Amino acid sequence: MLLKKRQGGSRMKIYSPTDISEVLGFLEEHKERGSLLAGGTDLVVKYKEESLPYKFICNILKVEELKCIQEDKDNLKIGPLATHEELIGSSLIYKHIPILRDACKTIGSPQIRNRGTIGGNIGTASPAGDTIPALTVLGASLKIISINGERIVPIKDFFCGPGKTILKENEMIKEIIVPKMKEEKGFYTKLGARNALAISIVGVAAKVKCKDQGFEKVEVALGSVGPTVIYKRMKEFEESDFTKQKLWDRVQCIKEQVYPITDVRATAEYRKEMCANLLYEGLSKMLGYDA
Amino acid sequence: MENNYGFIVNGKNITVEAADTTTLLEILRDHLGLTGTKEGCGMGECGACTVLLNGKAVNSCIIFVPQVQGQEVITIEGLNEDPQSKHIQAAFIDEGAVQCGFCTPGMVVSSKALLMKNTNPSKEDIREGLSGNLCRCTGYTKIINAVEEAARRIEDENL
Repeated sequence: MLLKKRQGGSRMKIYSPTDISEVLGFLEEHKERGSLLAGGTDLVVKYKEESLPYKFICNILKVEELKCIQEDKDNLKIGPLATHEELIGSSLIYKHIPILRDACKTIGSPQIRNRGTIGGNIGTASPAGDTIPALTVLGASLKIISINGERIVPIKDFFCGPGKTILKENEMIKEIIVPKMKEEKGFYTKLGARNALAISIVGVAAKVKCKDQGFEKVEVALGSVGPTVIYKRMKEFEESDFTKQKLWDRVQCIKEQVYPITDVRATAEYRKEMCANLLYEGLSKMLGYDA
Repeated sequence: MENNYGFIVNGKNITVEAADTTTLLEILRDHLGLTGTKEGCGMGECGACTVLLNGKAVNSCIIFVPQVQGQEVITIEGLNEDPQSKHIQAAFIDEGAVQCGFCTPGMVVSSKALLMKNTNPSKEDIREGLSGNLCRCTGYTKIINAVEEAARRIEDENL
């Protein structure tokens, strides 16, 4: 029986270099007609939906130097090809930036986490990308390279709209630099329609320094409630003696600070309510309350 | 624009000639006749296409064949002689965890991947480990029981 093979988008040519200089050469040559391919959990889906404009693909999974997770005295340095599963299993990540581990655990499914990469999650730049609020609140920066050289961009400045970044056509992410947490605690919580394989309806990351049953510093980053992740240093929480009631009353202020849309997954109003709920739950836990 | 790609499937070296954008799932089913792996959604969201790639569970429907070059793939057929998987399959039958059977190959591969990492999973661990595999028939309870039972049998035999 001859089966008619389902066509995806138009055929693309796929290169598989082993060296980063070849990747940079690819980007320089093909520019907007080419794209990098890592785990493929976003790109291949888009290809099948016939919404990919590229003629040329550069499979970067063989470039070993993009895969490491390392540390120096103050920072973790993560290669863009680190998979979500590798980040979850990394003792360095668990010890120094557990907020990122929280975020990776919410992504997709075991099969997706075995392929999907942190560089891909950042590069796809979905407003719902789960690693992004965590990296934002952790104060991460990206080392970006091209054949012209390299530059460092704070992740807060990297995104300029849904699916849009400040990467030039010939640039790629070489490394994600994340300062180690010191006396801070934090969390990432995701609300989705189901426990796995869900695009987030709201994602809330926070990094806090606790003091006197309250907070000395509270930084929050919220995903899926604006065209890009929204970062806030929330001085509204920087005082002591938060009872559960006081905390609940105070978190309501977040609802005026986010700009969600209504879409297939949720209404704007629901998303605003959930920002307050998730922030309350998370900050309660930071203070040692059961939410 | 077809190219040759060589990799290992179920322990055998194979070479295929295919367009770069052919998926691993298409290679397994259409080129190699290994139809145990199923296509459910084609988008990496249902797990019916789950195979082991270098020992890790992945959705084969969203992997382009150039990315499998030189790698090792194990499909449900390749687990036939695996002692742990025999217990998984028997437990699925004994616990009534198979109805239409379409999700079952993916469930068995994911269960095998789970038990390779965690020999004594709790119900919660099993739910998490199988969270990438959807079933429209069973309501999952008997599948979870089957994986628990398989873990017990594997432990009893020191496998």
